[in-house]
Amino acid sequence: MLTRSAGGFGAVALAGLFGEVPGAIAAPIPGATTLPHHPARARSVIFLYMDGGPAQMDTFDPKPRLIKEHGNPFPMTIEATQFDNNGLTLQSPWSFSRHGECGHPVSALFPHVATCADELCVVRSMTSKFSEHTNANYFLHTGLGLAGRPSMGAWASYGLGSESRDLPGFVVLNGGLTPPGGLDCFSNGFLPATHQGSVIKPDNQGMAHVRPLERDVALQEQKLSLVGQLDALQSPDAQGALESAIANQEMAFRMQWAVPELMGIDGESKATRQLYGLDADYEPTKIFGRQCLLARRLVERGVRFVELTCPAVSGDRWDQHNNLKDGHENNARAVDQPIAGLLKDLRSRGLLDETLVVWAAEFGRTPFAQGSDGRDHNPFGYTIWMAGGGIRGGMTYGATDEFGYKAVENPLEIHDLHATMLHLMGLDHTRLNVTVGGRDMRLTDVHGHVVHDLIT
Amino acid sequence: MIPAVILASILAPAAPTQAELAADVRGLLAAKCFACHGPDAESRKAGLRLDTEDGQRRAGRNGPAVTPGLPASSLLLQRITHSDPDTRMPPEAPPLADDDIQLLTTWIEAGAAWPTHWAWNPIENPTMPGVTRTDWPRDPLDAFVLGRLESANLEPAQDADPLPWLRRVHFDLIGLPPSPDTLDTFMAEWAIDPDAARVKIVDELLSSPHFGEHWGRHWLDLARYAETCGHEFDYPIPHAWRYRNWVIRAFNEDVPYDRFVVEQVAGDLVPDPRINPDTGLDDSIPGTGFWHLSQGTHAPVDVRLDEADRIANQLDVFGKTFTALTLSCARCHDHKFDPIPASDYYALNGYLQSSRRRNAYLDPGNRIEAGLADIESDRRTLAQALTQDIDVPLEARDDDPGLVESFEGPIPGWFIDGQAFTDPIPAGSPYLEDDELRLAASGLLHSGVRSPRAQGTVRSHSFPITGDWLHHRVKGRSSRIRVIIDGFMLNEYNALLFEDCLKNIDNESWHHVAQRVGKYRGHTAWIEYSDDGDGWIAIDEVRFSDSAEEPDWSHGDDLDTPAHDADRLRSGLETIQAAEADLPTPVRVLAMADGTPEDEYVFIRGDHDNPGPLAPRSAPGLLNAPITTPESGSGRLELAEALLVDSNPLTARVMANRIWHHLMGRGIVETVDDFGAMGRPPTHPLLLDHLATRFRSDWSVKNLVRAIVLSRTYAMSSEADPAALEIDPGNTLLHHAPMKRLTAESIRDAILVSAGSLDPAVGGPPVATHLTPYMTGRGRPGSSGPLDGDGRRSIYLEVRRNFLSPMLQAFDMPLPMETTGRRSVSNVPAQALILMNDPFVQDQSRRWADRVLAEADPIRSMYRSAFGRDPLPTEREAALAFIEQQAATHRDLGDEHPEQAGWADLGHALFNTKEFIYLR
Repeated sequence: MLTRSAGGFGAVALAGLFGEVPGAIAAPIPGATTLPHHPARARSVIFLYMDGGPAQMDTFDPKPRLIKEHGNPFPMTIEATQFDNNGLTLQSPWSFSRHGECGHPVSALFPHVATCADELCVVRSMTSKFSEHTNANYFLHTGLGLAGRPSMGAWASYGLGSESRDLPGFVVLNGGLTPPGGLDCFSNGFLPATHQGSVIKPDNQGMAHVRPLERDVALQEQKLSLVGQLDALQSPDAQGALESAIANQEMAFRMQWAVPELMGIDGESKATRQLYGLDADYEPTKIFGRQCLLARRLVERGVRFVELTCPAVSGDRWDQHNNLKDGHENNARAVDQPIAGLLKDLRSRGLLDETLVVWAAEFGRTPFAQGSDGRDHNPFGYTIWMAGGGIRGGMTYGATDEFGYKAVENPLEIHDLHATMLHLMGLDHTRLNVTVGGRDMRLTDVHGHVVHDLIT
Repeated sequence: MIPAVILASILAPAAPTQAELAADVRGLLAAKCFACHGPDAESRKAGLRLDTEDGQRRAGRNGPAVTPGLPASSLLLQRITHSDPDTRMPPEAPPLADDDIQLLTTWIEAGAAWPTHWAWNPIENPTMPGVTRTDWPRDPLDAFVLGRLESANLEPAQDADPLPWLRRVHFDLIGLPPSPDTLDTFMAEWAIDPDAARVKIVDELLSSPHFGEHWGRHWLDLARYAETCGHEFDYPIPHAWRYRNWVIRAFNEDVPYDRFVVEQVAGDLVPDPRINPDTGLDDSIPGTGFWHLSQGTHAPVDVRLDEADRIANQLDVFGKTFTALTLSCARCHDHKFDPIPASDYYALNGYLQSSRRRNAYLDPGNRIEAGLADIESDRRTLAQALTQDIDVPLEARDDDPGLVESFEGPIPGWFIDGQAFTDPIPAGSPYLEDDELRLAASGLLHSGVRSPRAQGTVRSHSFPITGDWLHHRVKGRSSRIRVIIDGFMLNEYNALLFEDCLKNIDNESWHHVAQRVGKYRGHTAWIEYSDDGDGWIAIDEVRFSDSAEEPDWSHGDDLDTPAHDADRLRSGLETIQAAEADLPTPVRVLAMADGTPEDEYVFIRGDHDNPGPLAPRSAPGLLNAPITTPESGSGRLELAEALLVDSNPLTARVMANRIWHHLMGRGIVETVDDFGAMGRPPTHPLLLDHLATRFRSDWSVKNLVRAIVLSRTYAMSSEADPAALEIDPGNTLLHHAPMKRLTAESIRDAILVSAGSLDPAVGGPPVATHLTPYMTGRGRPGSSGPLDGDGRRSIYLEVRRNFLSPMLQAFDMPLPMETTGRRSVSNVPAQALILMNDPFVQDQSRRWADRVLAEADPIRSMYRSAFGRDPLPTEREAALAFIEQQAATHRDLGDEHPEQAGWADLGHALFNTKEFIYLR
């Protein structure tokens, strides 16, 4: 059974669930007796969620045609936009140059990430189905454009458990911005609550409810000792639900120490701290640097899926409906050095080969202006990149048209991204399902194809 | 769960019945084969259909799929066991398990019977089975349980001890623990006459106002109850809590379930609305709030898709809640597993297309209408006494394509809601507007002529948008105009993409208001004119044009007011205004109203841009409920009645099963929201029909609850016989009572009860959400609600979709997005972390200590309120030793009240015991 083979946290937490009445789960994985389904290429995923939607033509998908047509009426048919305030063709305010042996073009927004060009597999043909942040966020995270379904991290945790004895399988490092759609983006949906994304704040607050309120640890220990004694008196041979409730209490007790230990980055070398930008002048860079460093520490400890949300910069998330230049520059400044630091640190520690890093947003932006100096939402073709765990670094996949508006070559859906991520983790997206409301539900619904071209 | 067939083969030498075999085969084929070989013709492969007997037996190119009696010659078995993976079925999937192949083989050997799916059969009133232990059953339902146990050579468990039974029945009926006083009374009465003692307790609990809170909460799970829309900004759903209170009242009053169903579907249309005796308000309309508790997207780029999604959620909730049918699976294609064609889904769509969301204006005790009748007549009499009607010749325009309405006469097809609006004022009539006399130059719709104090809304018929601009000639104060496009209403909070659709009117002279709507040309819309306060709005004319410029209206301003007796006007108004001051304010409730009747087209592959044939409104064929659709109106009332006809077996079965599920921990049909082929077959089909028959005889939820909790089955101990566990480890046959964990709400409520902090008030508006630093995101309220929720029961805590209570969520309160008839019962470290480290729990522990320290025997008091029993001597010793130890530690830490802190720690520890959150 899944739980028995998962090992560690997942096994303990899930063991208690079987035979009870989880709303969704009677027989979790029909036909599967062991997980993973096939050997994994990636042990963990770090998902760098670029809230709001960076513009593809301003980051990793240069479009010279935009320079030529700048200021002209946009020549293609314009689909409905979120703000319905469509302006003229808008060139990128940033120049591009080629980097690495592969020669990836990267815009001036990402000087640090550019130094890792050969690690990146740049997908220029991602598409979404929604022009609204919230629907697109639910879609990116859960495969459906409405709230209520399990997040991709919850599926990974459900399928594989956590290798950590005292940390959950799905952790969200909240840099300050919660995606539109709220914490439901990290929901366990109909999966057991254990798989919900546990939010960790990169400042010293850590995770909710892990800090004992007692003034001294002895007070809490003595309490739990009494609880154990009383439980044993009433149920000397606790089985099933009671047994796992007791196990959970023990794990909860350990989590109180594991989380502060995780957060204690003082032991990291000065060089490491600098690598991540913890000494940067810009406060959001320091915050995201701390998130990236914690992400490495989480995957080192066996956490299955780590998602990072962006810090608040002056202005807005990557959602530049106006003032594209300042807004994108601030957002890029916050994440560029930390991301490069993360990739290099994982590489130097030998972790990158078993850690899949994904950089993605819910959609991209329009090649024509919103008003005069912004860009509106564009789900018809945009760029994401992946690196590490089984991914072919240095390659480019797919293409948008010459304006960067719509994917025209090898267009991919979010479902394909999900299928590929699960595949790299050793999971077959068509077999990782549960029966809910009369249907087999899975992250990719009835869609999704593993994109083998991206995989080494 | 073990399929019935396998269980039967373990338990009894007798072969499973044909029906049991078929039920299991149907579940297997549904899961593995129906996607390509089921009811959906469009996706059917190789012309093979396995969900009908005809399809199974019809010879294809290589012979029939199923040849009764001959598994080896049946293509079905040949293909699923084929050695070539490219030929083997199902394709691109692991081969079927050996058990599944055995099941199919047995079924074909036994003749491959294919009776109608159990759930579609009429409800039979089964005869009570004969049992050997005739002294065991206490209620006929017990015989059905015992009969199955005996045929499997199993014994029912011992009766539960009285105190565990008492605690169980309290939490199951009212969601709260028994009070310490009740323990003593009950034990004394039980010693004399156990049966009478049980009956007395159950009847007390059924008449407790807390019954409706606990059972109402079960219902709210079905209705995906929330008070905000979620999505990006978590905008409010105003007045949602009135629906919550309506549900609580309905369970408390034991409103017959058939009526309860009708009022949620069509409470606005019932000819005999119930009146709340306390408030005098219509108590049928608020039930229709049921329809409107869904998520909502602001600024949808495709508003028609937004409407289709909203209706899909409404129909999903409707289908699962009342009939356990997964109707919305037929949105994009015919249902893959059940006989629900897409045309049935779109036939239901029409009921919602023909209905509208509103915040109704309820009139307390009809006092507004009664008062207005006099006031309106006094105002009219006064106006007419001051001047006379004049004859205004109206120019008829022959061809006026842009005109929507000019109010020159009655307005059939428009909908008047609330008390303010009445028929248009005819041209040339005098009328009073506040305290001025006016003379209408043309027909006007005016919300102030009855009284400026009156409130209401008038809605136009639905019409297609045919021009770029919609123009109104209006005047008014504190009122507004709204265009509702494809039912989209969230522009109330965020105007993006619908900037012009809502216009506030605050100009008491006739003026021109233009709304730019050309972007939505061809979409369906209606107009609302609302007067929700002491203002008014008057409308002379509405028309389309393709320009923003003021159109050429048919008429001019009001006619000059003729000379009149100002003193008489003033004195007349004084009397009128005195009466107006006494008018009560209407109570607003979230509700449904009828709109312009409209059938929907079948959307090909679910795509609203690709309409297929028209699907006239009707109930799903599966319900076996003939239905008529009225000429005017939505037909929702007829739809509601179709749920309740005798020939439809689902409504009664589904609710009887839900009641059993809540009391016994698992439904007779485990998948309480899905009675279709993908659901589980009933473990006790005869028992289910027995209960459904009883339920349908009076539709009383309380009577059925009473019968079950007074039964011998319910009263079994949760201690299982190891031998029975060996044979039936899943307790499918009910040889013992399940050990149940308390619901999230009951855990929090029980903490409040123990601490003495519970405010037992029933009803009222929600308590604001307590916010922690981890509850982040857009739409976060500006300030936090109280940590202890003011001591109110959990059902009264605000439900903000994007800011759900972490504690309630951790203990499996479901996400309020879809119908959830069966909550998860998870067991996760977050639960332990919350009970250990949440400030609410620790705070209540301190209050508990403060409360019991005033009592003679604090430890006994704590045990009685937390666990419904006295402490054992060992427990008492352990507690005392613990308090001493904690007090010493507190003393070392310099605490000024170390003893008290030690007692609080004991309370905290007791909250953390398993006994606190589990029911034996």
